[in-house]
Amino acid sequence: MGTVLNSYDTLLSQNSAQGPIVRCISGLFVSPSAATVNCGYNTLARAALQFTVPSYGGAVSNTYMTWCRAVTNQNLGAIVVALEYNLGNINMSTGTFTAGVTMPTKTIEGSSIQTSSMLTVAVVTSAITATTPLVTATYTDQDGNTGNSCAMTLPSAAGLNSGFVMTPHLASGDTGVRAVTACTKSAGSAGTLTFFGLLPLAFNLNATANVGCTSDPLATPWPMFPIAAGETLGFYNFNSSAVDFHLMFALQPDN
Amino acid sequence: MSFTSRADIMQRLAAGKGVILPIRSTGGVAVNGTANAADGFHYGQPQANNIGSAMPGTIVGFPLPPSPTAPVNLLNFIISSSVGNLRNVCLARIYKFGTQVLTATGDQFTHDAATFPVTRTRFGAATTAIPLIPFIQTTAVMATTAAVITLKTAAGGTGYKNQAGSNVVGTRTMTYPIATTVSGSCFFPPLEVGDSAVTDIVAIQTNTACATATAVVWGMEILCSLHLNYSILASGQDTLFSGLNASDLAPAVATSGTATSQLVLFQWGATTDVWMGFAWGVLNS
Repeated sequence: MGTVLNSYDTLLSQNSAQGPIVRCISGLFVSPSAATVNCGYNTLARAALQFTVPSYGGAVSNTYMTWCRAVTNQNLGAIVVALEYNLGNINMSTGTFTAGVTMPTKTIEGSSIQTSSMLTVAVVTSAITATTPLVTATYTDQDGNTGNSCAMTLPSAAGLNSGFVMTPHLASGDTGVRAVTACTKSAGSAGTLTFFGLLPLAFNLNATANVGCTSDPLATPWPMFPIAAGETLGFYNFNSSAVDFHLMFALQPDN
Repeated sequence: MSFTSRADIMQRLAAGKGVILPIRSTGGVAVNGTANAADGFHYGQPQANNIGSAMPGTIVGFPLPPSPTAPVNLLNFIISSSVGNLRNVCLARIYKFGTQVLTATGDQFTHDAATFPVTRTRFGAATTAIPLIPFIQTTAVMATTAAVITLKTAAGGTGYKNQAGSNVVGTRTMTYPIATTVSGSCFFPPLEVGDSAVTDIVAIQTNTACATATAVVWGMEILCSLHLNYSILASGQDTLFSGLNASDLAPAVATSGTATSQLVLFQWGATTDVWMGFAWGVLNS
């Protein structure tokens, strides 16, 4: 188990001994299809590009995001950088559901935790042709209970990379999703809807165009999720506009 | 079981036992008139969830997961705006006391069906009455005359129950600042000296009527107040490590019935700022 979070001096020594990963990501968020009170309450876009964490060398077992800065060219945005897990998808033509992964276990504050996503998003990963389809996902909740339902009525012909937050539509008393186990749809002749479970690493406010926002995960009351080699970072923007963005982050190594 | 340590909180969040609230607000209205001593010194307005709301008549609050089974304690609240103004904004839960007719004089307050006070467990005591800051929200534009109200009956009976639950007959009037007060404007009726909040509104006299206007009477529970900020710069409150203030995002419960309540931003001032941000909290069970 790593020790880099045990003290700031350990963090510094690992940084100097192993070297951090620093990356700059530039991309585009499309103008997504608008959410409604029946599908997420907040309009959201997923960036077309993701970042795959490279393999680690030496004694590095994990990394932690300790810094993230983002700037966009539009007002009224808020970016989430997150570990992204494909929980499954539904073919909106055939209605076939293909299962994905279950949210992983992560060591948090010294204990192995079965994670659940508090920000599970249904994303249009190929453009949907459907008239206000009712999509009902069956999922395993934060306590491991199976068979709960989340129903959302999506807008007609939801566009590519539009995202719809499932949380407000979970079953009564639920807060998180460990896995999506089934899904049905009421209408549709084309497209794919994919369910992504997110473990946020950084929250960036970009309410004003061209004014960057820096987040300091070490000083934020939020878990420091260990990031394994090969995991995927996804980028999500709560904004209704098409947005160019530039984002930099640093991953600090752990042994 | 309540959380017991910082590590416990982080582990609960990782396990999905909490809430992430993306915030995008409706934007405010340009309140007209000038706040002064006669209208309570302050004006402001709630801002609700951008999607679903049509202010002021239809308020959709920032959505929590449905029916959390335990308190959801706020850990962080951070917002920003695209408009550069000095603003005071808070995250608040508002509860609807009822409605007020301003177009006729006399006892014109109609209480909602729910019975107040709303209650929470506070300092270990269950069903503790929560003191609320009352404000009156204009829901249709006023005309001809600036209305005047007092928190009492026309015959001199109880107008409100104060922070201690005592019946109070109001003596101080509130005069709207302008005869054409726009829809969406909110003002704070003055309470009696020594009172800081109410646990219920019992009666409101319309002393002077206007030609048009409707109004809704709310009580506000401030969950997290941000320091004054220049709005294009993000302003936040870490309610765990920077001033422990882990308020419960879930609504307090009416004594009987179900109180209409919404989780909103409350902005003091009179501009159309739209706010973006996040709040998150942990399930405390």
